[in-house]
Amino acid sequence: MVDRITALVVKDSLEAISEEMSKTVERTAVHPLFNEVHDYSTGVFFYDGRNVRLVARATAIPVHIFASILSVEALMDCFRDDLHEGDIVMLNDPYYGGTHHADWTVMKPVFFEGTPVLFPSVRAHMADFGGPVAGGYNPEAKDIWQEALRIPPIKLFEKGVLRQDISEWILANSRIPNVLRGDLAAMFGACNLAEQRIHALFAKYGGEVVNESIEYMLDYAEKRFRAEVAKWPDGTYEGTATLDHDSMGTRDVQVKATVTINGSDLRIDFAGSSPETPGFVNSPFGNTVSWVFTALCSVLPEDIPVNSGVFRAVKITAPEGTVVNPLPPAPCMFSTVVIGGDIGTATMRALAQAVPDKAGAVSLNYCLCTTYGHDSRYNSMFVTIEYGNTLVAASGTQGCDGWGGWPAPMCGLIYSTVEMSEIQFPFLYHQYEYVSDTAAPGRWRGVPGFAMKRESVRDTSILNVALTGVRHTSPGFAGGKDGASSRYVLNWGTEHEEEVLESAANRPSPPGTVIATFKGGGGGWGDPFARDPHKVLDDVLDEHVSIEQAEQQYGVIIDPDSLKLDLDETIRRRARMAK
Amino acid sequence: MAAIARQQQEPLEHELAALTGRMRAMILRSLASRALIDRRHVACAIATADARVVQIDNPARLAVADAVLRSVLAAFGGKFADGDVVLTNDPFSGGTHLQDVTFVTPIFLQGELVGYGIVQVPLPDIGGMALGGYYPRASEIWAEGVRVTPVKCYRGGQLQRDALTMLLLNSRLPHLIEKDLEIVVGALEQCKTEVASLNVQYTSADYRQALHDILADTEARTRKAIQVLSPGNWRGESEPIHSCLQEQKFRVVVHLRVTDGTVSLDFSGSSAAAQGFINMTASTTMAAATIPFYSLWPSLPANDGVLQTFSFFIPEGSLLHARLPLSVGWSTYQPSLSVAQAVAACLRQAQSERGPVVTQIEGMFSLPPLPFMVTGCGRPGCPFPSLPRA
Repeated sequence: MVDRITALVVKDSLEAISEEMSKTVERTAVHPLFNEVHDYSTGVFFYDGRNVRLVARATAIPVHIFASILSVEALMDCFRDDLHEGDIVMLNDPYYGGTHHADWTVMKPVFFEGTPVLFPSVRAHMADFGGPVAGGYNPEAKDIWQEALRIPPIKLFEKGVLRQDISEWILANSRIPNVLRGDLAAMFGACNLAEQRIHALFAKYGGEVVNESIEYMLDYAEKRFRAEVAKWPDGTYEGTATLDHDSMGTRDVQVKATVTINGSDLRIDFAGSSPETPGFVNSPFGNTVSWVFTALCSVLPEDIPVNSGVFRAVKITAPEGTVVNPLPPAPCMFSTVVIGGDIGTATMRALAQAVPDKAGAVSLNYCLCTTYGHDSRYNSMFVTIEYGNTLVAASGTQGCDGWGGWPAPMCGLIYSTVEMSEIQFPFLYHQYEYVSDTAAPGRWRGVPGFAMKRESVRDTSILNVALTGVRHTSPGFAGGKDGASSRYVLNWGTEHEEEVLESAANRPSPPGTVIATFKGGGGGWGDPFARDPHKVLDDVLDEHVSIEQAEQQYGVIIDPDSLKLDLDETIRRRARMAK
Repeated sequence: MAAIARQQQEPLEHELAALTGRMRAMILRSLASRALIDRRHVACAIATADARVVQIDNPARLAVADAVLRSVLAAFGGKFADGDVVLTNDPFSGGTHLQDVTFVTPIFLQGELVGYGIVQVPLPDIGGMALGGYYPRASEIWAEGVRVTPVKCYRGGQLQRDALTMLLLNSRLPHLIEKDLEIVVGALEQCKTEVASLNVQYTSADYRQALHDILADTEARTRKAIQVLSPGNWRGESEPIHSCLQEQKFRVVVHLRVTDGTVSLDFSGSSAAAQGFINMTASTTMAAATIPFYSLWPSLPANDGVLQTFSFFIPEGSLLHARLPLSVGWSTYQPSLSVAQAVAACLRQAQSERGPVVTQIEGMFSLPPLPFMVTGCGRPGCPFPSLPRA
């Protein structure tokens, strides 16, 4: 049996390989979704002849990583007896273990002594892949074919040779084929690099040591996870979450999670959730599983390795035909954020009853705006997701305010910079900032809301918008307040100004028109009156909170002239309000 | 040798016509989607080894088969193995609209390429916004469905299961398409067997010579027929075409020039490309433009010999030669009728009093009673029923 040190070295090697894959993609891909926003994930999978297991991953998007397992399983189901050295396989279909069309999974089998054993994989959000609406987010979609090209498990490289006809077919269904070609090449390159590194690993340690190390780290993760769950009180806990709408007239779509803790076993069931909806928020099972694990991993100690060992102790069930396990051809493009975030919230609300100190918001809500058109500067089409109005949903958690831009479920993402966006797309940004007095109060407050004003310049763009988090905003936990409500205004500042309440499809945005958006921030955690007054003062000095709101929401008194904290008056004020 | 081939030319011509006829009958009898498609879009053809269509059972698709075949050859650098079957529905790879899929298979005899079998059938659905693919509000082709650029669904006789799965996954009616594919491949197998048998019967060299003679003879006959027309320049214009996305009306304008044994068709002056699905590809325009000629000379064989006497100028970027990514879903109906009407208007001016006359062609382009709803804009002149938008 392999010794513990060697096992950890092999584990870290595989994680380093995943990280190197990630850097390869970042530095070689074309679209800013990759090289700026980092909307992709890398990992290494292991196949023992029966089961696919995630053994290592780079810091990445949880929703990618957990669903990747089901996608890799689907790839293995199709090709397990037909894999050769040099093959690369891929898929994007939500009903083949995927999440939504945009996330493509590329995988390369790596052989040891004639057998495919390890499978480096990249899962990435691609910019465009056909469909009636650029980027695939079609608020008017009523079935999956109205969203985009569906790619089942398909072999793109055979024994190292590209299948040119298949490749051209896929590229022909993108508005920006050259960009897609480059992004795919980056993903293939990362897998090829991983293959070299894995061969070196096998050469150094031999197959037996590598395999035993993998089993060791899986067992270790399971053991640690079970030890944690065993500390939680046995019982059955229910949580619900509600989504504003599905863009097709269905409102208040409900997710119900029932968490059962029995010793070190965990079961999560979604019976009682709403039926699948006509609109594009339905969550394929892989996506649902991802969001459950996103919630679960948020309440675990961070040194537990995230691999398939963690998943052994968890059983997840969701009735078919519901919004959390729809049947094809239900549309599902928006599900990776909503209703995904609501799945996380419902799970977390149930967990909050068992482990209240560890629970917190994992939802996202979304102020979606995909934009596409022709950029006359470059005489080419462009497609992009506006990230400026989708940012900021991080909620407060025990010991930490909601921070930065992306919330935990999208923590691997990076801001796209205004300057690069203006170079790459025909936009001019007038506003891109936090808004005062919009942070959800709590002992640990949520991140403030975020305002953006973006003008179309030179060329007419086409917008597709879907707005959530208006009525059901980012939730507060443990007595913290809910986040602010989001807004979206088309043709801002003109007589044709139009407030979007739910969604808007295929809206032209001629040069000179401005979209104005406000994305509500995260929820708060804990009683606002328990917040350290010095932290409230910091917020006032940072202009996140006004002096008036400091008093009203937090009971903190700050002198408006000196901007000094009046601690005595604050204590008295809080005591009065507590009565 | 040449003398023998000429003696063999006529029977071979009949044999090839009979073969494509049998293929057509087999397909029309068996297609699982036959109740859902426009049968007039079915075509079966045989081409020479140098990629000239030598027989097609549906003259209205001659120009399309020719363009798709060239596109397929370009996609694979002309390299094929016995048992390959290529399919494509891509309008921008020589096709018409996404609803028409063309299959091409090379025909080998003793390792030598002796020709190609071609079948075109309609697809009942290939994704996009509307079941059936007719979506008047489509401003881009991807709103109409999935483009399938030339792809081998069989390689060396081996079904490419993953490619087939991808095709089926992108249709709302996968079971019908799967069955139809089997039937088309069966028809192409029949084509291969019979062409191979003809090659043995006539010997390969005689077969090639006979095909060459068929094409040359058709070309000569066409030139002779053209000589009956009055030489000169004739102008034709269509009725306006409605677009659900724009107020303006679209028109086809053609100038037909008849010279000694050749005709040239210049579509300069036609409307610029539309936003909606009334655009046409160049091959669709050419196919529609040849229809009035076949109305005039119904006994003329349908092969590349005819096309040798035609020259086309179709301005790129116009309604009749749309560029990617414009939508083209309706192109085989009203827009094709408009092209044919404009060309027929020219021909009526050019035809001699004692010669044949262009007959009614409208029936070829009317929308068959398909079960799919095509919802229009509701403005005056819109040919489609309108429904309130959801």
